[in-house]
Amino acid sequence: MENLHFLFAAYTAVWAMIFLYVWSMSRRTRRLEQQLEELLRLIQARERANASSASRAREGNEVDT
Amino acid sequence: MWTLLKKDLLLEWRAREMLPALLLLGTLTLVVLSFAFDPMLPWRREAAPGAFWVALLFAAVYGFGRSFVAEQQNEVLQGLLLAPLDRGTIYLAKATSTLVYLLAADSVLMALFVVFFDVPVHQGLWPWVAATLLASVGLAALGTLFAAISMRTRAREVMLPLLLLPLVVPLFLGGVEVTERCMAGRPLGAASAWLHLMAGFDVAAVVVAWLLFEYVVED
Amino acid sequence: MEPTNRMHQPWERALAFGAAVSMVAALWAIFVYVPTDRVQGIVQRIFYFHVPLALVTFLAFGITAVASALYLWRGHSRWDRVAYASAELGVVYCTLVLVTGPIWAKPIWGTWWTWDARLTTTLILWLIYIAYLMLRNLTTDPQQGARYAAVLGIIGALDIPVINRSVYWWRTIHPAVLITREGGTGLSDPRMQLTLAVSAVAMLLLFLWLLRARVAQADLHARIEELEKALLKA
Repeated sequence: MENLHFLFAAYTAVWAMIFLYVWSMSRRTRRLEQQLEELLRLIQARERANASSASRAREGNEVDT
Repeated sequence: MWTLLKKDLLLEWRAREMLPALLLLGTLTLVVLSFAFDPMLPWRREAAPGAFWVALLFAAVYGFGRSFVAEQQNEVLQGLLLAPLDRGTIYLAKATSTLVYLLAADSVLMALFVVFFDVPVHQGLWPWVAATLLASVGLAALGTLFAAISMRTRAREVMLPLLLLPLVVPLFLGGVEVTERCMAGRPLGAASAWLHLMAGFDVAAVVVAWLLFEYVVED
Repeated sequence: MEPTNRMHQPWERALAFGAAVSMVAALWAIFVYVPTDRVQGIVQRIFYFHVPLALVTFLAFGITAVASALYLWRGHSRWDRVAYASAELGVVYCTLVLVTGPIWAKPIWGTWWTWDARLTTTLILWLIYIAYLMLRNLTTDPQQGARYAAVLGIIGALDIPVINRSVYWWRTIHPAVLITREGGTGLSDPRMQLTLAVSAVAMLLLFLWLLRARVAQADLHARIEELEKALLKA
């Protein structure tokens, strides 16, 4: 079984490259998902802040009149 | 379209960015390749066609880049786009003026080549001229499009050769083959297929570039 | 529903499962089932990966070309994301073709690189799509970058058949010392043909799975940018 190391090299190259690609892609995707979660939380917090300040403004008006 | 063409020709003449660049790099490449191939060696005659085409390609790629730099600086293109002009026409004018200057540089390079590489001048050189003409059309067509693209990227000087050279391989191969054939004094025969290939390539290149140019310049 | 990399829909699960199963089947076929080639010996088994990799490469760049055209014509940025993802995957697969090819060539023909028509065209193809990726990364305005890349994607795909033809002619004029079989797979044994087919299916499914994941990632990225822009305005 001469030339076995060539066969081994070729398949290792294929496997290694695909693995690297999948790994880097999943890392990046995880980072993006984290970013998305943070953004969504930020948006929700802002909406809650807007809502509460709006309701406080209404209460303030009622107290005045 | 004719006014545009005249304007492009005039602009380049006054700016003198592209023509000197074409001539300079083409000449330098021919000289360097002359050094690379020992004049005494017999295969130098065989390697000569390759040298000419390398010089032509490098000159074109470098020169096209220069032409758009001048325009960029004057924001001429911006002004043109504001006018109600068909984008395709702008492209055709620009490509044609590029072609004119390229052909001018070509003739100088061909003369230099004959001198440096001791090419016997005889009737059979017409295929070489035809190949150079065809290649120049294709180069100008695609070069104008991709020069417009690469001018707006960060690695300007690198981008244009990177984009253009792989795409024009058929022109390059055809040019070398035809030139080899006719410099060896053999009749064109089967090699005329190369000229047909180059002509077909040119037609397709002009049409496609003309259609796609508007996507390149819209903001 | 937020675009994520996790597989929600049944067809996505099926694709992943199918890719895994066919990969195992292909490996079994390549290493156990198929007989050793009498002429080339055991190294010939690289062929069963090399050819499917090449086929998928062409598919990938074809997808890029079509998606690029649709992007320029219609303007939906989703097409641009598909084009980019497919080009990226195409470069990965193309690199693998260019790596496995010489590894196969060295023991068989004694040299790493022969300027045979197919390998040369693949090299030029690789260069064109490397330029595609660089164009996207180096353009200052990403939207313009998308458009430039689309132009290159279309022209590149149109040019490749012409390049292939011209390189092939060039090789017939200057034949290599080693004769390489240009047409067909040259496989006589039906077991070999079956192995090739299984491997091709495996590569294809793997590609589709990766493509879906990559496009999902691009969608995610686009969604984030949208939200960030909205946030800044508020």
